[in-house]
Amino acid sequence: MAIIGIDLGTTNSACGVWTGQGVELISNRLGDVLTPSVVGVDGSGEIMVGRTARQRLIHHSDRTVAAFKRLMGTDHKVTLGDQRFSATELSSLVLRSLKEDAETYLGEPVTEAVISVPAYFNDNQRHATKQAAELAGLTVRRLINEPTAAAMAYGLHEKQEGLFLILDLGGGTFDVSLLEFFDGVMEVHASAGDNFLGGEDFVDAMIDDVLAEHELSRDALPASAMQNLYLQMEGAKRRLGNAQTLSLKLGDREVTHEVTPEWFARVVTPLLLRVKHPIERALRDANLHPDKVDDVVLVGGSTRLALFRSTVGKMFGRLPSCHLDPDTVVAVGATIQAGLLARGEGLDDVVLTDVCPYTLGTGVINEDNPRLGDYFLPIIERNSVVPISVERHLSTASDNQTKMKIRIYQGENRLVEKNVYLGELSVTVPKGPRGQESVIVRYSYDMNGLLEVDVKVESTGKTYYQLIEHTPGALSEDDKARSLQRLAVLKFHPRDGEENRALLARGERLYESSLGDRREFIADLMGRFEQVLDRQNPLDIARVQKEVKEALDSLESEDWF
Amino acid sequence: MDPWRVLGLEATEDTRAVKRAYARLLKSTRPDEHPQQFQALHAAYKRALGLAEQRARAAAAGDTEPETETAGKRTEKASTATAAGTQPIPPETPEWPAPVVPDDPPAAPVEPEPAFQDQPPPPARDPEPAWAAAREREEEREPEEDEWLAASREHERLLTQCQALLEREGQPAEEKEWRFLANSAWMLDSAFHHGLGDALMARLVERLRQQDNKPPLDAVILAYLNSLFDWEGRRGLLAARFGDTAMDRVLAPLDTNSSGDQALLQGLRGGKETVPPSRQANTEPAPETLYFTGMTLRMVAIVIDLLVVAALLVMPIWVVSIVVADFNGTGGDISLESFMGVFLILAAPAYLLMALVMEAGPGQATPGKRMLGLRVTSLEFERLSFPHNLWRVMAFVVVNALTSKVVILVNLFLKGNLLHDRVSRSYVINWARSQREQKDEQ
Repeated sequence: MAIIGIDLGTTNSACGVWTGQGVELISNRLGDVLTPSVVGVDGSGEIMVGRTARQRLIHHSDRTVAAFKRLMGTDHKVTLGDQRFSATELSSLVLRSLKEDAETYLGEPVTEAVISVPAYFNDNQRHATKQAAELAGLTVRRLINEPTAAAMAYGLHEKQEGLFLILDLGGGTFDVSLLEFFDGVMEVHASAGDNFLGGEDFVDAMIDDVLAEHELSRDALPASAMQNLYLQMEGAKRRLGNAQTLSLKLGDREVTHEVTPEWFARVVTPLLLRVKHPIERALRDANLHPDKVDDVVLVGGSTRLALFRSTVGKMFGRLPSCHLDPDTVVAVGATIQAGLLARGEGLDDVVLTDVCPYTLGTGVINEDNPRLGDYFLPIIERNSVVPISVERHLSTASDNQTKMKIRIYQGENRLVEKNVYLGELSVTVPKGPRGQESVIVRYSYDMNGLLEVDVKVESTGKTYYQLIEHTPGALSEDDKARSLQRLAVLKFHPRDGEENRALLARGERLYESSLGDRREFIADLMGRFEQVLDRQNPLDIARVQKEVKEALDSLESEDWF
Repeated sequence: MDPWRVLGLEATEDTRAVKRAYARLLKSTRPDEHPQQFQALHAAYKRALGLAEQRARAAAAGDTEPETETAGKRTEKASTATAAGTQPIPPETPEWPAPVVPDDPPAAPVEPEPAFQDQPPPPARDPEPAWAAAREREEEREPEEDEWLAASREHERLLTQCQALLEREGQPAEEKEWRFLANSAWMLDSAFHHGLGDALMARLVERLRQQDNKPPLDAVILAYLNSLFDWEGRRGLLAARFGDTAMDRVLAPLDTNSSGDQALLQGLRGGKETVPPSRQANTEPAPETLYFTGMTLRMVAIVIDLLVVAALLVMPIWVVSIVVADFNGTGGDISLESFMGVFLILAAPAYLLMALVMEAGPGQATPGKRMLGLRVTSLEFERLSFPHNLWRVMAFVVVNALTSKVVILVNLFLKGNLLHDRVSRSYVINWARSQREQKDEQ
């Protein structure tokens, strides 16, 4: 049975399968390789995923949601219509849609997958991703870091050896990985990143600047106006090369806004500076001079920005390369990893070694200055090669102590409170003077980037395993069962006719954003289309569908929605 | 363990051979299948690679004497030891452009130094006709010089503006007013950016000294500047220059800044509303030292509780008794005795029920205890579970009801950790006093 490779992105998702000859990316029901990571609920409570949902983002923004990957690993929930979803559940809906596409393509059930996650995703976020897959009926064979996946695609494609710096600027996350490729070994030297930096932030910066110019706040605009503004800015960002004048509707005001490369550069400079920090950190961690890097590889849709390229170019004194499609290269890499796990033909001579991007540790009593809170005691240093298992001895801090609470943290700050809390477990120790009783804390970090902790009390020999009491975003077994039950009864739009629904949704969006004759024309067109759909004659539908598509294309020069 | 033996190699200076040997062994020691052997192999590989480079360098220096080789090995050991140590940031990173601000005392005016450009003195070139080299140099010199001048002027201009904001009397500067920094086109130049960040930090440290260690910037502005200059990420480097305590003090406001959730939600598109995670009760940190509650306060709490119970019980009993009396045909006359009888029978169970529910509830106290700022906790100072609290209430009944006079006498000498608390392994903490004392201490 095939293992599929999935790129679960902030903006778009994609999947593929290894077929002996190479990677085959799987088209979705609409014939696209990229499925937008957008989930919507329609009036009758049915779920839709992908382009159809994205078309509805403006005019049904209370029933549609995008960019929810940012909420992974948190307890936030999103309300769509009258239902509430966690980010894990929303992701599982996207995964389920990809899984169905793969099953249709392969003609057999798919139950196993390799899923890519940002290298800088923390333990909570990784667990949430894994659980999303489980809710969608997929077993995760491996969580692969996105830059690593991209490097795999490049390494296999270029057959080139050397040291590569992979910069992955996606919709919502930015990852940096430094890799070396030699003799069929792919070694990750260092990873760094920023979980809240991506293409979406560039658009946000543009919106904030425009709103500030007109002295408006985000709350002052209705949701659909915000979405419209967002789409206009997104479009402007994509056409940045030449100056353009946008007419924007801000509440009851109509304003024009000049989008020039200079304006854009001014607005996004803080973001570009944030791009530089992780790059510098990765090089520092690997103790490498930028000159040693043989090639800088760009991955992720947002690396198409000319300004990003020139900033990186200046840092390294050379042009970065991007021969492969930045939108799909991660999916290709994840698929290669899936092929490796299945020991697919022509792939058995690549071994990947990865590192953990964060320092993992625990809190210890800070005797110098108790007011500041406990110190962070690193147990696994960041950028250690994984899988790794490290033991530390900790002893009691006060006389007659009977319990030790081992709290698990991830991060780089020396004060434990400023790091990310992952969970805790408490162990019972025999009474005794301080420092006499000690425990061995062992952290094991596996290839998926998931952490396991066990604690052994030295005097009694009793071992405790991690029992996380409250991990943000994680589901207990009960929660999972409940979630599964809830998701199982959700009705999905049938696969058949998805193309028609996407066209209708697009027509509706265009109708609402047009005026006058144009509007009438669209209304007329969609009316005729609906009539034909009602008659249910497949031949007629196919013919009119093509006509409608062409007509809409002529109204809208680009369709990146 | 000898890395060469693990890799199956003779000691060599050929890093390529080391890599090849590692790659060959790795194919049979896949990290996912043999994690422990893999860790050993990887450690050996890293060490061998370091040794090989050392030897290659020694060989390149034309020094093949055995003494230098062992010396080389010794330094190598030392350097791997530091690599495996706990310092995440190497104390020196020579590959980065040197910080711009001079190291002299901060009172001196900060002069921009010629480190804006990665501009080493023109290197000795390959033999070339002298005139060609000279002309070439002249040609590039001109724009470079200009650029350097422009950069230092910009550096100066921005710093002056920052200084003005820092020193402004009266109304403190807002975050908006700092935005001019990001508008400078020079900010994207690495050397300029680092130089400016370090120079500004020097000003902040100076300001800190002038103001008796009061942090010069508030959390919002500091967070913004930190997003520009990554001071937090470069803390190790900065601390080496300005000292650990100075850095701690300047960056202290960052610790209290927690707008993380806001950033999280801003990125989300669509969705009617987001429901934030429910906050856990009592998330405020517990005081360092906790005090038991003395006998007097405990008694007062019980008296208050009984009054509350009485107030709650009188009305229902009254109503019920009237109804019952009506039914019996006695015409609404209730004797005080029967009233008190019913009340006394009900009061004790009602109090116990209230204690059972409320002490294990989110408030961790009965109304009386709550008014006095007391809290019932387990031995770990956490909220009791309901079964645990049932145990506590039963202990209270058994210990106090059966042997009441002796118990009260004994309790007077137990400093607030009373008999039934001990039996039920729980504490009654004077939370209000603990917090007060902590505040006084600060």
